[in-house]
Parts: sequence; structure tokens; C-alpha cells
Amino acid sequence: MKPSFLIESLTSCSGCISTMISLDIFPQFLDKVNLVRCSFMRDENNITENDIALIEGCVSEEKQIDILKNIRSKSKRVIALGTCAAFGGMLALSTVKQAEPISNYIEIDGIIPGCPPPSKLLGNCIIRLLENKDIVLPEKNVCADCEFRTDDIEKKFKRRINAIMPKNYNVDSEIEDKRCFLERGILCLGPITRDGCECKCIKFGLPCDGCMGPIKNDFTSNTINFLSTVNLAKGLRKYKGIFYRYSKPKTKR
Amino acid sequence: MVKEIIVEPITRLEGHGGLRIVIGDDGKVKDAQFNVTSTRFFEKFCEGRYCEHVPRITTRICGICPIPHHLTPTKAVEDAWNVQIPTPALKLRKLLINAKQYSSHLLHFYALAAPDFLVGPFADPALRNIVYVINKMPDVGAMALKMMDFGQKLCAEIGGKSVHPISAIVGGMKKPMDEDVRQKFLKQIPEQVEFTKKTVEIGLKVVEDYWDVIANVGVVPTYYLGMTNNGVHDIYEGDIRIVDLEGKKIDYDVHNYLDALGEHVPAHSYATHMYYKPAGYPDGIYRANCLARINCVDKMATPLADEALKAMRAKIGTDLIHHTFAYHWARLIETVEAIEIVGSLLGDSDICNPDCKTLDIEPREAEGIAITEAPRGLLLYHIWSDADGICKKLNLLVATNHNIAGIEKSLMHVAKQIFEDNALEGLKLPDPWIK
Repeated sequence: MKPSFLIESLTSCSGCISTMISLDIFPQFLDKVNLVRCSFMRDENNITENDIALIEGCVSEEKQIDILKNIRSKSKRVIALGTCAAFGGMLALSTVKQAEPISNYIEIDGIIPGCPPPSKLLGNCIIRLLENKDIVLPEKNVCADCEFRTDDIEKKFKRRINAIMPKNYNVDSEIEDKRCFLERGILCLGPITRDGCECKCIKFGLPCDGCMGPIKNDFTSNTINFLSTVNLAKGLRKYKGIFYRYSKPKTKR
Repeated sequence: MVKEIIVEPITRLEGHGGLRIVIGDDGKVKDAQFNVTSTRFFEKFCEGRYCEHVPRITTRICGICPIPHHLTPTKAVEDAWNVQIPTPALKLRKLLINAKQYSSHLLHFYALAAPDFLVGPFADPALRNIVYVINKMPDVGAMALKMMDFGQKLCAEIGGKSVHPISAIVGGMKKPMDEDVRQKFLKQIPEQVEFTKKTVEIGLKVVEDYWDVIANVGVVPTYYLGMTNNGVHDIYEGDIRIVDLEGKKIDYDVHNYLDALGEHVPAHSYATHMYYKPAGYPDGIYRANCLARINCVDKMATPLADEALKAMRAKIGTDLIHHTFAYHWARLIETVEAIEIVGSLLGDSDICNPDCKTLDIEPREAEGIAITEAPRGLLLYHIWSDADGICKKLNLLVATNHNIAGIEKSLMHVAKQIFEDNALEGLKLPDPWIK
């Protein structure tokens, strides 16, 4: 019997599903599963008994809670697909719209983080799900994989942080690009963000903005530890979402 | 008895939405609504942020068209601060947006739309999907996947990340393309052009098969909104053009968008209805997206696409096409243009030129306005910067805003045709390709 999959989209940009469709293994995935619901691709969309439910997007409307509970009751495993479902996502920065991770309402069996999840990580997770195994995520932070990492990382933290992005109206030379962002006075969320993205942003000369979310569930204590080691310039202290651009609802404010 | 037809969620849609049609006791269609969620909250939480941070946030508005949502705010900040970007950056951005146009249009044609034509509009809903199409037409399926993959991989390469790009910065592009990467993609162009031609052949066969539907269902006169570069089709740079009901073309500098575009707030929806201001509401309801762009332009930017446009106008017999089902056709013409532009830009070694960003940037207190064409319609960003480069205010007009009124108008038209005039009964439909 083919395993049955259900893919549901809550409040989202559809970027996670879009990433999934673009995977090299996607045609094989379609071949190996019985897709019971995925409104992006299918017309018939009942919520039926299934083996694995992948949920994309955050919870921002009442009626989504009922859908979630219904899916939970009919699914053997429920996986949060992407950072919105796992942590609330970018929308959680909003003060006018509610945006919560699905785990605030139902029990979940795993997350596939990222905004969107990196293709390689997502592909590996899908393969493990097809083999009826648990998802395995990197347990290290982004720094572990970063080419600009140096050993005296503690020293960098004591630097004054003046910016959240390199401004190319300041100096942005090649030499500057080859140093750790924290050392350059630019806030990089690598130390408190889960690895698995192959440092794509950093390789492009931009600091990590935390889209993979926290490494462990105790995000708050990690963030506070990190916060205590950086010296934020005055202008940045009030900047909203400076340490939790994708995960605000998970932090206790 | 009053009958209500509710479709929610609308399937095979780039985004989330629902529709509701109300039919009264007398069998007359009373109401036709299209409901989507609004994007207003993004405008709000971009306030108080560094202007250059905004393009890293707004990509999350849409995972299907994140590239226009990355490039347009970047252009708007450049407009506000009066920044001129180097030519290599301009070429890279055009390459990026056209690569996205290519993969997005193909995703729409093959995964979202084709099941209706190939499997047939009255086929079992359980079969009417891309999975079934791939199983039954493996060659076409494999080709479609290769085309989408080419576009997506190129976007990820230039954008820096799959889906949400990061590479455009105020002043240009973060990185040039590597020469070996350019060669790798350039090599694939002849095959992609062949694939595109085959896709157009499939499209033209569908047009023949469903001519009765195209010519008779959902022919809805509206105004049209599109961007043109002095009358030529362009999705990265240009100004606003409106086409009125008679086919008269009216151009607006993007900075005067408020003279052209009005917002009406209907009682039933979160989202506003846009209309052409001088014509008033509801007379001035317009449509956006590919058919609207095609209606706006004098010509396409590339030879094969321009030929295809001429053929379409000749077949339908007019330069002003109100046929809703011709949207798919227009989409394919744009797909042709996208791959031609991608091919010619990949052939230009200037995209590997490291001079792809300027350092001549000074934040200033000013407003900036910019547009691009997202796959589903004009995207406009209006940003207010303070002297320190902080975003004080942001106004966004996205394709969804532009399309809702037009969609509801065509929905009402088609609902009347189907429920009042039984239009479906007399229609000539082909035997489905796939059974």
C-alpha cells in the first residue's frame, strides 16, 4: 500500500509547497504516495484518514483551528512544513494580524523548518517520511557551517552592533565581506539559528536573518544568552523583531 | 428558494481564495463574489524598518511571485534616494524576473490549467490534476517538469535562495553571475526554446479544440491595466498603461498612479476593488495579468513572441481581446518572450561583470514609487523614506487588488451565462485528450 499524504495550506505564501513541487524527487514522490488532499494541485480535497499530514502556513483565523483539529484526528503523523507552521513565521511580526505556530493548537510529530525549507533538507525529510522514519534535523547552529567562523567567537559578540544588514553606502569591499558579520558590527542571527541552509544568505554577503528558526525549543533562553553578549547600538534596540524575525510567538515576551 | 454556490478552497490557484454565487428564487444570479485574504498587514509592519530591509521581508507576501516582491520595493527605494544602478545589475534583474515569469507561467499552464483542457472540464474531479496528466502523457509531463525546473534553478542561482530571493540590494545586485554558471544555463537554452515551441503547439491545439468556449463564454469587456516600456511589452521597467473599452491607450507616468487607479471598498470584502479613476466605479473596472498586458502593448519585446501576438490578434480578429479564456493563450505568448529574453541575457557576459552595484547611495527624505509586472498583474510599491533611510510608510498595490473587481465582473457574467442562459448545453466541446 502506498502511504497516504495530506498537504494543507493555512495562512501562507505557498512558498513551501512551491519548493516541494520544485524538488528533483517530486515526480517520484507523486508516484510513491496517495495524495488525498492538496488544493494547490487537486480538485478533490476531503480530509480523510491519512498517514502523514504536511501543514504549511501559520494559524491566523478561527476556522483554521477546526481544520487543524480535524486533520490531527485523521492523521497518523502531523508535520509542520516550513517556519510559519513551525514557529509563526514572518507574519508574526504583524501587530494587526494573529500568526501562531500550529503546535499552539495541536500536537505535532515534527517540523521541517526554513522559509522556505532548503531543498536538500526538505528532500531528505520527505525521503525519511516515505520510509516511515522520523525526521532528522541538524542540531548545530548556522555558525557551525559558516566559512567566516573563527574560534574566538566570544570576542566578536562583545563588538558593538550597528546594523542589521551591510549598507553598501558604507564600506562593502571584498575584504569586509570575508569577515564574520558580528565582527563587522552587523547583526547575524547565525549563533541562535538552526543549520541546514548551507549558509546561503551568508555566501551571498548577507547576514543570517534566522529563517530556519531556533535550534532547540528553549529559544527564549538561547536568545537571552545571545542578547547578553551583543552590544546593540541605540537605534537598533527598539527595532521590532530583531532577534525573532520568524519566531515571535514562540518567545515569551 | 435562494441557492448559494460556494467553492472553497478554490483549487489549483496560486494563493488562497473562495467564491460564492447567489441565485435567487427567480433563477437570476444575484451576486458573485471572489474572496481572498488581504496583504495589508505587511505594509504596517514594514513601517519603522530600514528601507533596505523591506525587500527582504516583502518576498513573503507571495511564494509564487516572490521575485517581483523583492525587486519592486528595491526599485522604489532607489527611486526615493535617486540611485542609478549599473547596467550589469539591470541585466541580472531582468534575467531574474524573466526566469521567474517563465517557470511561473509554465507552472500555471501545466499544473493548474491544463488538467481542465486535457482531462476535460467535466471529468472526474479526482482525476483532474497534474499527477494524472503526467501519468497519461509522460513525455509532456517530463518536458513540463524540465521547463519549470530550468526556471526555478536559474531563479535560485541569481536570487541566492530557492523561492525567496535575497540578491537585489539598493544600488544593484549583491553578486554577479559566475561564468561557469552562465555557460551551464546558456547550454540549455536551445532545448528550452524547443520545449517552449512544443508547449505553444499544445496550446494552439487546445485553442482549436475549445474555440467555441473561448469565443462564447466569458467574453467580458473591461478596461485593462499593464506596464509598457514605450509601448513595448516589458515586465521589469516601464510606465502604467490603461486600455479603455474602445481600445484607446492612455499612458501614465508611474509617479502619477493615483490619477489612474482608484480604490473602491465594497461591503462584502476585505480587499478593495480597483478601477480606472477617470471612468468611475463600476464602469472603470479593469483587469490585469497576462491578457491585460497583451492588450496594452503595441508589440512584444522579442521576435517569436511578437509573431505569436500577431497570430493571436489575427485569429481573434481584434487587438482588444475581452475573451477570458484567452488568458491561457496570452500566458503562452509571454512564456515565449520570457525564454527569448532569458536566452539573450544569458548570452551576454556582462551579467558576470563584478560592477553590479553602486556605492553612490545617500538616504534622503523622499517618496519612491516603482512598478514591475508580477505574473498575475501589475505590482506597485510606494515607499516613504526619512532622512536616515527608515521606511515611514508603505503602500502596496498587488495583482490581487487589481484583479478582484475584474474577476467578480467576469464571474457574474459567466454565472449568468451558465445559470440563466444554460450556455453550457449548446457548447461544442472536444473529446478529452486523456481519458
